[in-house]
Amino acid sequence: MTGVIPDTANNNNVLQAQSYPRWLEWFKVVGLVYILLVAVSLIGSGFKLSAGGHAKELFAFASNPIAGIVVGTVATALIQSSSTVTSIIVGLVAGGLPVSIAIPMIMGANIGTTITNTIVSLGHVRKGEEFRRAFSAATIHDFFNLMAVVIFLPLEIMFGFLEKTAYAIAEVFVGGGSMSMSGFNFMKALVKPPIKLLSDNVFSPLPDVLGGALMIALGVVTIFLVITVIGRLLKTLMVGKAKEILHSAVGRGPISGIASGTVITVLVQSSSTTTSLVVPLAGSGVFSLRQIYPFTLGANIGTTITALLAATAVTGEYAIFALEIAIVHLLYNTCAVLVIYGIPILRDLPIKCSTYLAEAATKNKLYVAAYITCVFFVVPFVLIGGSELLGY
Amino acid sequence: MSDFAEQKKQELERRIGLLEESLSKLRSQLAVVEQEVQHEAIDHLESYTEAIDHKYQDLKEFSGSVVEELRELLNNK
Repeated sequence: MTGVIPDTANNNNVLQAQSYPRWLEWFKVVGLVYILLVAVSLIGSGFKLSAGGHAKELFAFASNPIAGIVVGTVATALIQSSSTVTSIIVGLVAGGLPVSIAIPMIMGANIGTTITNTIVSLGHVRKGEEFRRAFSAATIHDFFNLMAVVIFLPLEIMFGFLEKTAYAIAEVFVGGGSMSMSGFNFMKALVKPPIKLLSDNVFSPLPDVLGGALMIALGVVTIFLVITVIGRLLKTLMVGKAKEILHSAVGRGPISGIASGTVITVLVQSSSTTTSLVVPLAGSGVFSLRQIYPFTLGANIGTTITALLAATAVTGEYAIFALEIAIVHLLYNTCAVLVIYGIPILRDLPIKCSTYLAEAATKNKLYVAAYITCVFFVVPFVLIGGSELLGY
Repeated sequence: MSDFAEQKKQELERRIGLLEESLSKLRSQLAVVEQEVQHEAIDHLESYTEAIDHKYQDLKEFSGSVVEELRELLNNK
């Protein structure tokens, strides 16, 4: 078992980061969060400028929920960051994208993010039994998120319960009451000046559609870069805290596992980091699949903090919808954990599926290639074709 | 039931009880050992965070392995 602990001599980045003053690193994080909020607001303003009142028509192709899921899945799988994709979605909703179109995209982002830890598990590919354990620990997250979509997407299409509940909650915060965020409007004061500076000096000479499209592009690139850098900084800053949390969760059961997964993901602002972290731990056999499972579910809940944070940057008429989609993300992931992990028959399905797939994958690696290609790229497009043929 | 059968039954029940008690103690000891190893692995968490930065190497290694298996499959046919 001692052989599972990797050589720490190569962790130059970690040691280097520790030699910098901590306050400077935290100062960088605060600055980057501010840039993230500006970027989200920039996307909203750009989308409003370029689409005008036609945001719904512009995203008509995604009004098919399957198409929305595919957009979210493929975008997240390619960028490998659900936080980036959900922040962009919040920005688009802030610019007028209807929440009903954005919900399947958020669900798709959940599926797309699981590709990262699956890729991390492939690093164990030549190690037989270790690969089997690592691959099952990675794909349990995939199967859970796929099940969540299968259960909650039809319910959402039929009843719109996530959209309605999230709107009611968002109304409490953004509505006209004295407790509303719009009452303080401190975010507007913080975020608006750079947006105004950019739109007045850089984008105003351009036609509305081009200017708006460039604002969106700048916002998307900025969000991607900021989240990548924040992730790296927090990974080194928070590793000590993450250790403490994990130590306290050992031997305490699934609720503690979910809670520790949630808190660590909030601290590092990346579910991929949290879920990838446990892959080598499971691969080495130190943690069992059943012990890893609740921890990865906590990552699903913790990752919703980024969209909530992004939503605080949005002001104006669409602020309530931006907060609504962020709350949808939180509600969806929390409900999925409560329903799937709460019901024993459903709880065991991801365990059985990932164990079965990992056994097959150990015997033949072609199953792994087929699985990744099908789940993340082929099946989504086949589903779009099928649903279009059925007239959805 | 005869006295002999009754005595044998009681003896077996007593032995099962002892075994269950031993089993329970062994399970607790195993849990302690497992948790010690888990704490030791958590102490080296920063090493595992590095794994995320090696995704492209992981993919490269995996694709090599897939190509090998494909060759084997084609050669067998």
